[in-house]
Amino acid sequence: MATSPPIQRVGRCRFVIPRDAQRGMRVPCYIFAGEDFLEDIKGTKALEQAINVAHLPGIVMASIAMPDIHEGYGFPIGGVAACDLDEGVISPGGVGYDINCGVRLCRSDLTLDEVKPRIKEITDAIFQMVPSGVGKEGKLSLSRSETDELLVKGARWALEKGYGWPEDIERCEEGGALAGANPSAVSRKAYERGKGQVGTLGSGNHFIEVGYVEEVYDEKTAKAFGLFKNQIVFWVHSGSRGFGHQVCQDNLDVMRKTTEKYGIKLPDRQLDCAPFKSPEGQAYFGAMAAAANYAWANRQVLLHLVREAVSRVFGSSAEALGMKLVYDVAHNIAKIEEHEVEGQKKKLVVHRKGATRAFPAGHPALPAIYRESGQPVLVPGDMGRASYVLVGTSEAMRDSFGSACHGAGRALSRQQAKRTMSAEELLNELSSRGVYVRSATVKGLIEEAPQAYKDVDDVVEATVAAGLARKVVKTRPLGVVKG
Amino acid sequence: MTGKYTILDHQADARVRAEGRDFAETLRALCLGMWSLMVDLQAVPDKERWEVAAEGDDEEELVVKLLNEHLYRLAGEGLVVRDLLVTFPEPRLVLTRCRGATVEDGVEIFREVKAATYNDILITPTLMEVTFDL
Repeated sequence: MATSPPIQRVGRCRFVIPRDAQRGMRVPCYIFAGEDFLEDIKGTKALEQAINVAHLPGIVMASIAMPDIHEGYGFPIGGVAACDLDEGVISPGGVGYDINCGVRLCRSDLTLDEVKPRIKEITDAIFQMVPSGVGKEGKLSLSRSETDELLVKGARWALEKGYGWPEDIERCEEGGALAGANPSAVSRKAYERGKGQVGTLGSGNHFIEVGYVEEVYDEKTAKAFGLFKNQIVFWVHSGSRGFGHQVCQDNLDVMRKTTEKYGIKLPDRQLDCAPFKSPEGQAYFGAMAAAANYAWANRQVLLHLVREAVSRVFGSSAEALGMKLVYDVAHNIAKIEEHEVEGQKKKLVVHRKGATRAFPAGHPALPAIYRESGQPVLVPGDMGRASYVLVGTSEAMRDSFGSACHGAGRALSRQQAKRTMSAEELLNELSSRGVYVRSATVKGLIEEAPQAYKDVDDVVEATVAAGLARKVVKTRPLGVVKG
Repeated sequence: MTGKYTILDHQADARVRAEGRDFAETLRALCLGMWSLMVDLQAVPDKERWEVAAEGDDEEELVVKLLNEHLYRLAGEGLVVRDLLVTFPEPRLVLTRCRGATVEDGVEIFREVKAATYNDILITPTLMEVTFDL
């Protein structure tokens, strides 16, 4: 973009690019960001992408950018867009390649004092139990019909196979299964790529972290989430693995043709889309929902493996250790949700790409245990600093379709990260911070160094200042398993 | 065949620039550039021979589909390229004759490439740039 578009400040950490800033925009852009960060992204591809999203047919209210926005494909990462079900479109670029990449947080009755001396033992046990790294296969070998069942049932499939506890299911967004999954809309290639990958962590920025609650900001809500100071918690970050990548690729290939077929004019081919109710739109939604359910089943099995590993170390059952799931959120997904737009309740297809659902207290989609407190919003940071548990707000419901940030967002490219320090220096630095790391590959580890990410504190402060969520607790890493 | 590739800085993912004297040479360099994101090419044993083909309605589609087909064959069959030859049996068909090994031969894959994308894609006979989702 040659020049930066006009940006109006409308509140603390709230900015607007008006609809008339560029020809073809159907709605304005709402940007939720700190002042300094806004300066950093002016004139970048990320902001240009947020503006491009405002061109989508049927988009309502605004194209929304979260405080962790950075360049993606078509949509920026940290982007939210909701489209009318009848007149709007669905776009694979609004979900991304790792469909239902997401996070789950498991709490425990263990404390910092009990775990700190044994962190190597615990991290090693998890590393040995959980297959991690590129292309690693899990222990589950599923037939086509079993896979079809998994694609419809999601986390519940894993529960029925003995991987988890009944209460886990209600503690997942959408109950761990997105309605509308259609296995017949999934290609043979996607089945092939997903074969053997249920219960595997993957690579890149996926991780399992053993951490502790360092700070409690909101005692009442923390109590509702079962969290307390110095408590040991477990973060699991993974997605739909090769299955989701292939579903996205297959449908991007299809939608390269549909944009023209339906006479849709877009400023970027990576925004290719189809009317939601068209055969192509429905096929993508059905396949995407299947991939989302694959991811929920995957994280459910991963949690089971973490429980097994920790249980072995302490010689005590996971139940006795109080390893209860706090919540599981998706941060790359498109869902049908009801929202109020210009005073009217409407069913919309909400794309969240690198954004977390953040529903407030009282929302009917929340399980009974969180109906009074609001939804836990899980925001992982990098492996050296911190992660946060936030809670959804009514402002988010009104201004961002009930969405908040999803993480720290990259600050350095992989090449830059590699130039910053060696793997040995990184491991020494993490060790000096009291963090023990196991990784499938040292080369991959350096690219995920804390320095490669923005400080999650800044992202969370901007999210809170904008009113999209409130802080509940902050956790610090002790042990990390990287893919 | 020569041609060369360069890995460009990209904030979130990876971008490969390939240069050559003609379309086939440039595409070969691009393919090798993509593989270099995942493996040490020189360390891949020269044990297997296979072909990877793709069809496309235009040059961008032809290139992206070929690269993604290579990724699919890695995911499905564990095939890892050391070197390859590019031919065009028909105008909308590209065929690569590959040599290399399988993951079972002990090749270390140090990074996952999810997909080749159309993001800011640049395709000319002598210069190509493709962004890869990691």
